[in-house]
Amino acid sequence: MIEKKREPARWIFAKELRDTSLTIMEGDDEARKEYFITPAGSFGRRILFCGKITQKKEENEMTKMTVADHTGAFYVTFFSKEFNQNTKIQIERVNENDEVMIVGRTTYFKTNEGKMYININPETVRNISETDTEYWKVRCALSLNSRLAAIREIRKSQDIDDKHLGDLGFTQDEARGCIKASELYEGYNMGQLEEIIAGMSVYQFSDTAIKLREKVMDIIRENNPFGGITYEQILEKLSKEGVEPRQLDETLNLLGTDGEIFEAEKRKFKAI
Amino acid sequence: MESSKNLKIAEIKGEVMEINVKAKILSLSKREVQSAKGPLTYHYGLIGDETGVMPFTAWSFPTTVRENDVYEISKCYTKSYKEKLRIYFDNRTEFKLLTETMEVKRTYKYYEIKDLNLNDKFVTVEGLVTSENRREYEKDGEKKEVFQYILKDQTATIPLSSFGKKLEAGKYARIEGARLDEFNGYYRLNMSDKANVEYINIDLKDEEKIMDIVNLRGAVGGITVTGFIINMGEKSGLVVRCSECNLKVDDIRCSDHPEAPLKYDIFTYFTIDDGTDYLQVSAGFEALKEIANINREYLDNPQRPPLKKEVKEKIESALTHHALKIKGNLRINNMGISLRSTEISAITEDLVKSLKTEINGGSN
Ligand SMILES: [Zn+2]
Repeated sequence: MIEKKREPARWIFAKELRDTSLTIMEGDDEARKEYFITPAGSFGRRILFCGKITQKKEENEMTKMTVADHTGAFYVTFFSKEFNQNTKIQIERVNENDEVMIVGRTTYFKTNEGKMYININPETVRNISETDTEYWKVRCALSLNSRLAAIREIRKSQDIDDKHLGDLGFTQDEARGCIKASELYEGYNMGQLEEIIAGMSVYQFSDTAIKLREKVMDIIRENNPFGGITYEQILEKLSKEGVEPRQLDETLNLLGTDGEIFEAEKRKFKAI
Repeated sequence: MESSKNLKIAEIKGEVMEINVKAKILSLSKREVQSAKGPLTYHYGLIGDETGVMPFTAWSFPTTVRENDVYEISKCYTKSYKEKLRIYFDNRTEFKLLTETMEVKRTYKYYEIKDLNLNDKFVTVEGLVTSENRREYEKDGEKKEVFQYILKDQTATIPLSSFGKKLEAGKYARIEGARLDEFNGYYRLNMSDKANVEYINIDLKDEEKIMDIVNLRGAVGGITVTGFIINMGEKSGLVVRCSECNLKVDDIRCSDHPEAPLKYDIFTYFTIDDGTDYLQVSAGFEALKEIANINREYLDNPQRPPLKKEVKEKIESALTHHALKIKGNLRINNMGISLRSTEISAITEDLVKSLKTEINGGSN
């Protein structure tokens, strides 16, 4: 599957990485390597992402950081070694609440129950501007959007091959990754990833969503100390005012797009 | 039994069974694939006659059939493959070698400039004809002239040399039968006075098209990419050149021009990643001056010659790990494709906004 001179860094949202529960082994015996494969068909061993540092802790030779984009959090762990002192200097320069761009290797941790966590081992960490972050978000959305479209094509006709996807305009990586992902994540519901795209497309939010914005934000913020608040709980708090799920969805999308909130767990929201 | 029909290539329309053609084999290749019944060998290529050209696939093929020979081919059929009509030969097809010559009508496939590639050397292209330059040369004791242009379409630019035929600069032309080649790592087009030129009334929109790195193919110009600069070459920074020959001087003087004074210049090379792939980029003074805030006065100041470390830091802090927009010309070498930048700028909010319009809501 991978035959490139150098492994590219994949650009993916936190949500897509968090939904990743599988890896694939590629290459011959000695060069055998473990690649993540996301439900939306991105695969690799290195990612590039942007976001805000929400937490940074140093213990001895180890630094742990949580970096949030508008869809969730990335978990970054750095071990200071002789060969990575350049990265160490870069990490020392960044602080909580900084916007950063990180390139890092993925490492995998599986629990006994079979749940997989992906940790990022940073190679590059750098403060960036908000515009740079916005740029990353848009490019990421375009990439995700394209791969979701490939998966929809694959689901339409099972015997579609990478050649055919190529004719439809998908890149080789997209075609291969999406075919593999469709096989491996058969029942995966793409709804939430599609919502991320919908939330980012140039779309006029309704007056209701804009009016609800502050109220929903307050509810979420109040619940941050308790680890966030679920969708159902927010809806319940708003039910007296006759707010419908559709309106809440739109408001949450609006807040997500503006980078005010993120999903801390499945359907559980926190303020950034 | 149904009798077969004699057809010219241009007369073949849609999927038909049992036809006969008289045609020349223009190209012939062999391919082996794995089928359920084991390895399968087939041939493919192009055939043509005086009316046109068509691709073929041969499931079975006499070993005596050769490129550039003319045959009477009977009992073949056509099928549409990937929306393109192909002619098929199987074990019922008969080939009869003819001794006659045949002038094949060439049709040249149309390419957007960004998609040009050396696998297809005779092409149809379109674009605005710009920057005319006339040159004379001598061939076989005869004076000849060549007109040089830059052809620019919506996707990219490419140098075009027209031998013996002056084009109308400033107009949008469609050129059939231009020949593509590579010189010094860059693509260029050549055309003779026999190439067919038509002028079309099209206003080329002056908008910048941002390319995905993964889609870059040939060594064409006028390309714009965006991305994060992920690492910078060790030797980036201040360079010293000979004022006479402009070559880089590693020693204290130029070996060819030891008397010539030296001058300072800047140069950098780095990798840019846009999420689809990455690309090597090089940049000199013109591309760097604004973004790195380095001007000629700074480099030429005899009171305070530029410091190596300072220059490197200026370039590094302006470029490394930032998201940038880069314009330039693609070049091919043995390492693959790289970009020589002519312009480097920061990603602006407006650019993000315009990229955003390309996202079209989730499901469809
Ligand atoms: Zn010299």
